[in-house]
Amino acid sequence: MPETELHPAAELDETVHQRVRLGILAILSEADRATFTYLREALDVTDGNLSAHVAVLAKAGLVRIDKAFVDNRPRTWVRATAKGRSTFQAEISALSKLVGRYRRDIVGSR
Amino acid sequence: MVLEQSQAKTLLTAAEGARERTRSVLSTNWFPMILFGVLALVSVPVFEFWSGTAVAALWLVGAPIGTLGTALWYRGRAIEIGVSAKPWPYIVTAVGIVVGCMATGMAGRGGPVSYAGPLLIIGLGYLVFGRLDRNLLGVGFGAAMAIVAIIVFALKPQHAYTLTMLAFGAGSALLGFWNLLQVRRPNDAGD
Repeated sequence: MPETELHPAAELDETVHQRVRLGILAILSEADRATFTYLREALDVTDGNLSAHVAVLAKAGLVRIDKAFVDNRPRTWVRATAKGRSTFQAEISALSKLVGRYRRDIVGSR
Repeated sequence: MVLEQSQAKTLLTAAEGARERTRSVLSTNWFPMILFGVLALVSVPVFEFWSGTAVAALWLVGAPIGTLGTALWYRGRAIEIGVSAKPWPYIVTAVGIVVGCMATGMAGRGGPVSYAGPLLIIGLGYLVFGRLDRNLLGVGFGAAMAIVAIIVFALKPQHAYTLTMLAFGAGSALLGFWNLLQVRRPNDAGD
């Protein structure tokens, strides 16, 4: 790797580089939208934990929160914004590079 | 650095797992597969023992109602399970299939295009649905139907409508029941 090329870790996004937040964006990269309940169960986290992470993503403009009523019961839907989708793809790409570099380092050291 | 890289691997694996599970939940399609498969099978005796006009009427009424029913089923399912796919690619494909089948069916005037054309459109449509769901079985079924349509158009066999609808109807219904079995399996993501 040339000296001037950045280490893949430098491309990681601080907001997204966290298991639950990356998981939220991973789910929303496949779906149009998901409820709070679906995200909580899929990621195996508590309500409070999920709320905090969704709030961080919403503040960064990576997800949008829509509230609606279904059969008089409130439903909170979360969907990824265009920025959220591109940030997620960039994060996955950076993580893949990092893992690839790790593999090369191991092979190179043998 | 080793720690960072092992964390990267853990994060990647977790993200891919979450995507995979969501993809699996969203690719549930037993309702439209069984519905349109049964509709195709029902149309066979109507054609054989009644008339081509009755079959045309069956499809003119059944296809739009079936498409609307499918849209409502997906909507209800999304509310029930709490996750939904982007609807527009599916709506555009479904409308394309219905309009394309009606257009080729009518333009064929009882000739080979009137039975091979709709099957080709259906095959291409299922191929698109399979691609959208990243469902290899769906892609394979769509491609197979398109090939059957081309063979039927080339060979012009007797009872061509019956043959094509039996192939499509049985295939679609079987794939639908297979999908239903998959989502009803205990500890599996689905309905």
